[in-house]
Amino acid sequence: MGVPVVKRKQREAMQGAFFVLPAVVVIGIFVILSILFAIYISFHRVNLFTGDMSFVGIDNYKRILSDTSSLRAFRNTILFVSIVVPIQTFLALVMASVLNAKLHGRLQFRIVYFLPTLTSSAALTMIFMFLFSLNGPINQIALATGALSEPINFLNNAKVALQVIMAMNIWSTVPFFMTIYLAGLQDIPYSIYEAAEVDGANAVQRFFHITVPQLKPITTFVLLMGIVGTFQMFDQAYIFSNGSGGPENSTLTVALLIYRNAFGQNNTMGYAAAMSISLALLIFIISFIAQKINKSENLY
Amino acid sequence: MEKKNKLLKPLLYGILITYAAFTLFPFLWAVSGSFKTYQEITSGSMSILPKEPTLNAFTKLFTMDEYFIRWVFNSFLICTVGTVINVILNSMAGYSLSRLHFRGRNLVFYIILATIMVPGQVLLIPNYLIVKNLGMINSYAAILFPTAVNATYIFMMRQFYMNFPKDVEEAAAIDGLGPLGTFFRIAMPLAKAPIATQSVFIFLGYWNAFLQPKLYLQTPSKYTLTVGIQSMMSRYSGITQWDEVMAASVISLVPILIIYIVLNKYFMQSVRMDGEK
Amino acid sequence: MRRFMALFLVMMLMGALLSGCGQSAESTEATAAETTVASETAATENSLAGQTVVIGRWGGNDAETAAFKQMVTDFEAATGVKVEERVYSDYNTELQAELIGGSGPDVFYVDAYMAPFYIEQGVLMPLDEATFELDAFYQPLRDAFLKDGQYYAVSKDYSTLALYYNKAVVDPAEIPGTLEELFTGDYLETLKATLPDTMVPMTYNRDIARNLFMAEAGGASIVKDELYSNLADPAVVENLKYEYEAAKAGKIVTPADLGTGWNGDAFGNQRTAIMIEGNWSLGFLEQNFPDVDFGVMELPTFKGEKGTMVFTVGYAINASSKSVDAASAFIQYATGTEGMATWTTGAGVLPSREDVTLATDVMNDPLKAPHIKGAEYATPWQKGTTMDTINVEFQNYMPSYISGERTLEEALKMAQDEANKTIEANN
Repeated sequence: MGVPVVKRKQREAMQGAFFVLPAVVVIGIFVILSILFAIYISFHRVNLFTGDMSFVGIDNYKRILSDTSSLRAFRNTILFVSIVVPIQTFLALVMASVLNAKLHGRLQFRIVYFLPTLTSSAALTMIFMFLFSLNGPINQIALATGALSEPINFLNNAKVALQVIMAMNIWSTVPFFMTIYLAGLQDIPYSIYEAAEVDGANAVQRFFHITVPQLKPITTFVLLMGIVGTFQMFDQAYIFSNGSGGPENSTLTVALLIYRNAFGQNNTMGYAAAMSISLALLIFIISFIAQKINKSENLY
Repeated sequence: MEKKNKLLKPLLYGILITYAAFTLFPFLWAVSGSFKTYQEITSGSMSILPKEPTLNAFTKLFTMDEYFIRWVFNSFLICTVGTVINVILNSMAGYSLSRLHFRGRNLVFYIILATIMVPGQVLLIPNYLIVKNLGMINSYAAILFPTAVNATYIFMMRQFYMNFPKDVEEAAAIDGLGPLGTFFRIAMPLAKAPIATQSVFIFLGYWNAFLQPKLYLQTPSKYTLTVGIQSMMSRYSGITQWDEVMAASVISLVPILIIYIVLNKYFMQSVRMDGEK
Repeated sequence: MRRFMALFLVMMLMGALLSGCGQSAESTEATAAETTVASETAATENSLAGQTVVIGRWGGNDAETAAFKQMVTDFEAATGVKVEERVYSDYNTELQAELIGGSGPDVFYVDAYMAPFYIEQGVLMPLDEATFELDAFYQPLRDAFLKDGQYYAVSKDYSTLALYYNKAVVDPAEIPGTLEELFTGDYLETLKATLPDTMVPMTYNRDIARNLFMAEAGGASIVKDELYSNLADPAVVENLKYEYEAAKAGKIVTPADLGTGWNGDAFGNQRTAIMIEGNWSLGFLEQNFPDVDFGVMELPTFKGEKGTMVFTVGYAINASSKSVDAASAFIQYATGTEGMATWTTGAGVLPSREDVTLATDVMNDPLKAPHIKGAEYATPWQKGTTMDTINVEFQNYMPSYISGERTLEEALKMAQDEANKTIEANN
């Protein structure tokens, strides 16, 4: 029959290691070393200009728990993640499925839906800031239809500013995940659908009982990347609030706080590093849970 | 059966068209901004057609710097090389992590995954120091080496390869293909959809990359297009010339759009996985 | 196997790129090495010829870029020194990364606001008064870069705030002569009644950078012990009351409330009749809104005294620069009578030296004159190394006063306490 099993397994292991080697080398040198550096300085009070480093143990980490702005930042970020991720995942999945159906103009729709990824963050934020301004279209429509009696100053109102950024973020990230889902949908054998149709399943049933389960590994990807992306959201909050995280810290995300502490006048890189590591740990835990839930056979 | 189908189609079209409107409007507004005067952009008008169309913004950008054409060329070079390297290495790693067994495989995967989770701001300076110590400052190596692989897409390829039926390797082994052959002749061609997806987004990433290339490239003639344009439009003075910003974003998106349209057919391949090759 | 060929070709291409590009990095190092060998103090221009100096700056509008390029060309012609420009976007982040990594430019812009920080980090080289003719500069601008008897940068230009009014709807004679009157009196309301619906009488900015001179009038100080926020001090609260009660009453609004990016956008689009802005608005309005007919005047007095803010940027030499003489020559030129005249006339900014002000005749421009007069009594925007934190918290909590959630005292107290918590932890 050919090569004995043991040797094949050895060859497979070598091949596996070889295939993954370039990735490990590159990531090892550039990313892991940098992360180790960040971990190291997170236990110090540092001034990178003068090279001063004094060991402070877990002070930086303790500060995260007691600092008002850091607590607020984590709260905002977690809120952001918990709303944006489910919506963007669901929307991406639905739109990809709709696009996958045999409709005219699929190609053209796909191109149109891709466009948000091409719009730069700066232009996008400007558009949304205009849309939601005191005299802008959203307020005008709301007043005209009676949904509101008085215009809301979305940009200056601490209660709704973050929600505007959520809308912006969903708008710009759905196309990415939709494209990924679309690619994933190609791998589902048509014969399964045919069999289900013969058995009397309607479109909605086919969607929930075939499409969604078949896409599980892709959903894991979409969920995790969604979680990572939203937890690290920075540039939209920065442009929107002009770097301040206001009004009243309502748009302060952890990434924005890290940036503020790393650069500018503050020179508190150690604290920024501690926050980054904490954020990474949080992301890791949430991702792990999300992935376990998604994998569980009982769910779907 | 017939009735259900009749309801379904209009519903689907309805969804598609509504979503398309939401998507198109902000995008078209941004594009039309590049043809408007600054005054019209900031006047608060929501119209997509410029009242006084002008090519002023584009002219300013094209003529502002002698290296403009050079930058376009640099960008294409970096993006193409970077994307090709990435696609090959990411797919290899993803394939290995999902279908080949070796000791420590899961550990490697989790570590790679973990690197995505650390926010980038604090990594900027250590990265800079590493690149500097390797002597790569002011060379394209600084842009291509650290980004030769992308953990996100390694992850994505792994998930895709997990969905492959088991018998693919066995069929290849029967045909007498070695490991590399299996990968290049079977695994890659079958993954046209995720590879096309990867290519577009990685290209987009290289094209729009700004902060790292800006830090690592010191000679203006070496800049990529994005870096060059951004440096012409620094906003420290507090005044953003929106017409130029919009024009710059339009110039940036044309190549990507072309690539997306060209690769579009690969996003929906006609390979059926039920036993046929 | 075709795939293998593709892979191989790509690797070769990469190799070619890397080897080709590596060399230029080496050649710049070589030039730098040459310059250290050839340096002598205040040498004749001939001995500097052939050296390279790297100048770091942020970009600006078309006029500024053109003016800078002109000045550089003139300098290169006069001294034979080659100038390499580095334009930054996210200025502080990029510059700091480079300084830390040891590859910062020889000369770079330093905003007076950030000067205390950079001086403290020891990245600026002390400068000699005589070499740079510092006594020819306006005092507030020169001393913005003074610390412990040493000068660390030379002011290259400045901007002050003045009052802009739209001539079509505002009669300057009617504008009250004091800020107290402007904010608490009827003027703004009477003006509003005469304006079209789309226009408001005046816009303002919720930013200490604009309010500092008012907040500290009468000897009050918003900073305690050089580091801590003192916003809740009754004297400060009293000073800020005028403007912010007017804001709360809706007499004045921020540009964002109108959906515009800043005062200039609002004023240019005729959404506001009056704005308080700096002279960078002049070039901006001329370029983008040439149809608006406007006038400029000095700000109304506050607490019986004239006051305004001045913003200035200086050239500094990198403490670890290897081309000190070339760097010095550049700064001497750029802040000398010739270079400064080229720069300020072309870019439309104001010259930091009195002799250049006279030589370029800017006082005769009615739009610039109010700004220039302001330089004599203006408060520099600079207050130690903790202003970022103090200002951020100020901007964070003021909306809660405007919306009625808190009283002015409470809002300022929150801003003060939050800032001090952070400052405490950082220092």
